[in-house]
Amino acid sequence: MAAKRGGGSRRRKGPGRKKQPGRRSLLRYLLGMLALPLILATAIGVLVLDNQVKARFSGAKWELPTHVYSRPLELYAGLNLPRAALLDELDELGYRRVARIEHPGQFAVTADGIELHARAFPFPEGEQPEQRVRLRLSGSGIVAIQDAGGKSLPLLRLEPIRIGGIYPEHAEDRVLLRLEELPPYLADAVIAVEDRDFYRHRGVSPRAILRALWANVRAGGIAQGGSTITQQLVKNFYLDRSQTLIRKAMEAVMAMLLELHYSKAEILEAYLNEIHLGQEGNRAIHGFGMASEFYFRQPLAELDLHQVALLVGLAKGSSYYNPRRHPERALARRNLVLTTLASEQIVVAAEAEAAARKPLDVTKTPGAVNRYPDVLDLVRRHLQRDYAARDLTAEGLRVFTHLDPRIQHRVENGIAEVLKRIETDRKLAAGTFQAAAVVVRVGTGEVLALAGSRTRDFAGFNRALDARRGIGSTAKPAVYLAALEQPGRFTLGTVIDDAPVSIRAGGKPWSPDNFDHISHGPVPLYRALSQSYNQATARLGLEVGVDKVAKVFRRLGYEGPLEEVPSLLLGGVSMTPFEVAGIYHTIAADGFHTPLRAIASVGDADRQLLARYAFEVEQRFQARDVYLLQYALRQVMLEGTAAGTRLPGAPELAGKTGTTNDQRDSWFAGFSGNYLAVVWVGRDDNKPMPLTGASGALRIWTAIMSGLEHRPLSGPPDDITLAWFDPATGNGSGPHCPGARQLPFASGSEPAQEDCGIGARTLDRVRGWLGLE
Amino acid sequence: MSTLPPGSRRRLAALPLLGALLLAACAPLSPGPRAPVEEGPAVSAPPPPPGPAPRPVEPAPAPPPRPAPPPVAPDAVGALVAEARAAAAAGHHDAAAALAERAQRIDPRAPEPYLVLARAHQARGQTAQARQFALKGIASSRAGTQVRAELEALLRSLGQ
Repeated sequence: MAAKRGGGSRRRKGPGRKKQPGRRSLLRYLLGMLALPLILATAIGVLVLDNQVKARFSGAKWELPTHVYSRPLELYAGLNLPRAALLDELDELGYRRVARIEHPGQFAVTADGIELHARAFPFPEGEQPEQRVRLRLSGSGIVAIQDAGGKSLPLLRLEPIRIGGIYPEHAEDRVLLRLEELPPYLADAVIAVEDRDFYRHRGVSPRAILRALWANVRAGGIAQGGSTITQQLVKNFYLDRSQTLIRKAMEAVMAMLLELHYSKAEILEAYLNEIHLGQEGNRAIHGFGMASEFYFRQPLAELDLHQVALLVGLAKGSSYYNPRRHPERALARRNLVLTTLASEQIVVAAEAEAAARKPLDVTKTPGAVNRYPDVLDLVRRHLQRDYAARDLTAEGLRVFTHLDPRIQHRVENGIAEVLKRIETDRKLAAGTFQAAAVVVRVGTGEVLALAGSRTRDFAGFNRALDARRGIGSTAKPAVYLAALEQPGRFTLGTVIDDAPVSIRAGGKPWSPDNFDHISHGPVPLYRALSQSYNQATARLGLEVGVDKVAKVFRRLGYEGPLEEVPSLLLGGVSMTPFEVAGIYHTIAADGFHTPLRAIASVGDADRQLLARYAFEVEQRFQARDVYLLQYALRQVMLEGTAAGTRLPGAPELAGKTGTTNDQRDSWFAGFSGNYLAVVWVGRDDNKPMPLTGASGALRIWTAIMSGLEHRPLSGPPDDITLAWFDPATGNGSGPHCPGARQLPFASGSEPAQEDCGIGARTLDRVRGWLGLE
Repeated sequence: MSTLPPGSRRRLAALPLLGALLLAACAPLSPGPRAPVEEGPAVSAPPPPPGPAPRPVEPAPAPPPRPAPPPVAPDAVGALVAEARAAAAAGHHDAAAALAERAQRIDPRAPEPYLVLARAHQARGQTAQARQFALKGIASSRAGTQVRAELEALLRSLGQ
């Protein structure tokens, strides 16, 4: 039951005597009339400010960029990985080479390998603990991995390399850190240098201003600032950069309000994550977590005293004290901080002195910059299918890609060096050609490397994804696959006439010519492909049916525009290098289609798994038919248009050249059992070039593929039969017949075997006489 | 001076001819036309006079079928597959799939990871994808092996 409150008047009435209005009271009255709105306005202002302070501080304080990672390198016994490549990877990850390992992030080189203290890493599917291991290395790679106790380990996964980010418009880059994750003396050091009274004041400290003045006079430079940490945070968080009196007053009020609502620990943590500590282009480095990676390529927890002191010193002015641009200023500032730390007894004086003798130890190039803009472009496009733009620039997502930096470097260097060489050799202006390349892991469709231009660090026109160009003879495998799917009609040995073809298509005559303007007469099917004969291919395609060939393109995975016209047979379809990689991947993966994937998984800011971009396959072609096509593509490398390609130590590879009309485009698509690379070379103005598929793209392809460890192509499936064949007649042959060649056939389609009219038994007898058996 | 029986003399006389035939069959012949047709000279040469197409000279016989490549890092793949199976047994099918993918990346030809992936998809009711992985596993395995039998049994259970 609700009690009735306030029954009757509680207001006391004053004495009944009325004051006579005098001059003084009139003044007071007038002042009161003026003050009231002032007080009211101030109160409202404070309330508004209070609202602002709470709104920003209680919710998500920052728009956190998405951070993008490379693939993690898996190490295992038997991995072919040159020692230099392993050291490069450790360098990229910011591992320090030391004589004696003391903590994670360090390695030591031993007589037979490397000792390593691998860092812990929060993989999206679970935390991987830190691990001390010994890697035994041989000339070619890893022989064994052992843990600290000498026990053999099957494998070790290193953490992935942060390769870049997707930033909000203001381009603030940060890694959020909690107070407990910071090195023990970092917070103390910041307080000692920036705001000694931090734990005593309530947001504003007049004493600090006076002391800072005195300290600066004594130090002969700016050693301390007058604003408290809380004021600095307010300044960065809520206010613009103007230096008006009103803004100063607002800053003080807001600092006090912040202190009223939040603990010192919360304010300090926010400050350490907010403070601006560096700049690169329009990317602003905020907070000590990102600054540590930016300057040292190391996580903050691993930094030594001299490194922490440098970062603390940068809070005063990261541009003025930029250690990469002004190392002497930065060193002086760092040592001043070290002196303060010693005098405040935060570190022992001897330690501070030892730290002061150390070099700056800043890496030459900043860590975690967008070094692979074309790859990040692809990653962004894939993410945009599933995430809103704001999520990508504000939610602190972690994106794990399949990018392999080692292969990416090969691609970038290959393009740059080969194009330069071609231009020099042919006395052409530098920059005449452009190129794009895609490298994919065969079987999984993982995009390992991608370059959209010959310029490394420039995010411009991404030709790998956007340059839709004629693919020329690179299209031919679709024609042959369509034919080989009908083993009753076509085998690799089927003879086709490479002679003029002339039909009317769409009311116009179509009569393709060969590149060398020669008709080569009857040729077996595999040779027509390996030599890239246009007339034979056109004839075959017309016999198979243009519609069937078009369907093969679709089944291979091509989803772009396509016209069912005869010129399709010879590459009358425009594709991007990425799309060409997609269709060749189905061929390389033995007929199993997998959409090309740049991303492995996405995690949220709390290190939880948000999405896995799982591996999916779909069998689109019989392994048998693709095996036959691969045989012909192997002949391209052995005796066809790419004959003479040398990849030392590599097994047999398969590939196809492509040159469009008037040599406007130069293509090469080729693969081993584990890597597929597609390269395009051309001109942005689409003018003809003095280059073919072999003299342009193939050279870059070779430069990329020659540095990789290749596995052999798949062996023949069960329903393949090898049979002897006479290329001259297209008939079956025998092992003893002149010119006979063994070819794979779909079982049941092989030709009858012959003995060429010479009794095989006679030959065997002669062999016996000659002692050849 | 040694004397040979008449039959031996005839045999010897036939030797050069037969030898040449044998060599023709076994030894590598000319490497074949090296001048690629599509990839002609940078500046197009005038077309040669028309005439009958030259009969192609065959290169060396194709090499015999290649043996199946040896497994890559069986310990690493085995360890990941074992871990994946344990995860699947505990009902963590996403983790099982992620581990199988790591194994598959190390050795794309190993059939076991495909079996794990197929079962992980089956457990999540994704029958079509389970079937595809079983097919991929079968294509990557040799007949008569245990894993092939398991893959075929799985495929049958999924309904073809």
